[in-house]
Amino acid sequence: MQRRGNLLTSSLASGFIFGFLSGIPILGALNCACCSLIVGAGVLTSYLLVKGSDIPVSYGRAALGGLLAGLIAVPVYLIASFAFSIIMGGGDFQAEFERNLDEVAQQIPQAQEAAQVVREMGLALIMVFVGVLCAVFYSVFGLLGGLLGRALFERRTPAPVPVPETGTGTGTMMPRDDRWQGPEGGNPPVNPS
Amino acid sequence: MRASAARWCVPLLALLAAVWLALIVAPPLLSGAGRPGTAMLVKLLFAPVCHQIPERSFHLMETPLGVCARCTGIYAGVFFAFLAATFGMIPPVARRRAGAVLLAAAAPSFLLLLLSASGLIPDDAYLRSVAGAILGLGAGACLVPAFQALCAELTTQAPLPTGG
Repeated sequence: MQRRGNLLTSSLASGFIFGFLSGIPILGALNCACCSLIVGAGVLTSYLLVKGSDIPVSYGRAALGGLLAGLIAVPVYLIASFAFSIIMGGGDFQAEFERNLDEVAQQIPQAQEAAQVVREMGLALIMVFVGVLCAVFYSVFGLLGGLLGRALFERRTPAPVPVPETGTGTGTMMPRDDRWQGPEGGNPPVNPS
Repeated sequence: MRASAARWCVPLLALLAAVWLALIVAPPLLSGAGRPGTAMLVKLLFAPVCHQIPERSFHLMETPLGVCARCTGIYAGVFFAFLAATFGMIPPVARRRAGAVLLAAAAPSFLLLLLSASGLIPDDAYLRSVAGAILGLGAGACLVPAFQALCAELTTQAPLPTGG
């Protein structure tokens, strides 16, 4: 029986680790360089998948693992940053948010009115907005990390298996990977043309 | 089918990267066009991915771009890597030795970080963005074959049409 790396366990582990690291005040600043910690979560997911699999890991599986790791990292990050800000004596999110908003508004001429509109939206709505934004960005950067990790760590060359294209009668070669999980682990079935 | 998917995915990536770059440059342009509210929203959009410190960012019309100088360089590098791949100009080494390429591409950023932290060279925004662009080029060059393989996998996974 050939082992496939467990997608959910790998994603959970790396998403949790890197989400937590993102929530730590100084260490989390590494995310300021293009979400590098979240890219790291994707890379770690791919590494775990490759290590836990007897057959070459496909790019699709690595990408999905990275995406899941990014999504898992979001709530972990939000909870960890919330906890750390309370531990470190902060916790006044309303004041912190308004300070950040003022900073952005000062950078853009005549943006005070817009800042007021955003301020009136309320903290809860803003937090939902930030959560959704983080989920979108983190899943994309996690996916990129997953692809990079697959390119970095998968050294096994998939054995080519012929897959005939319908209508032409000629076969093309495609790499054999872990997508087909038939009873004997053989080639995927093809439609007769 | 697979060749077609691999052919189209790279220009699509270049287009997405171009849109991302356009969004980075958008806040000063929107502000100049009398749309400060939209400019601020675009600026807030990038908040989760960059510190956006004005002193560490490029300015256009006295307004900082959406992200810092290093991030601007990285994203510009990724865009140019995707653009080069569109015209078939990605070196084969990016496919075979992704680790070495990434390491080499990240080296200038690490070196700059060390040298500027030790005070040997000034912490210059242009230097940061050039080092970031090299990192972006390397990362983009490694991502292109990965995306091509992903597109090929996804298209071959689609159900084959049955003959009628």
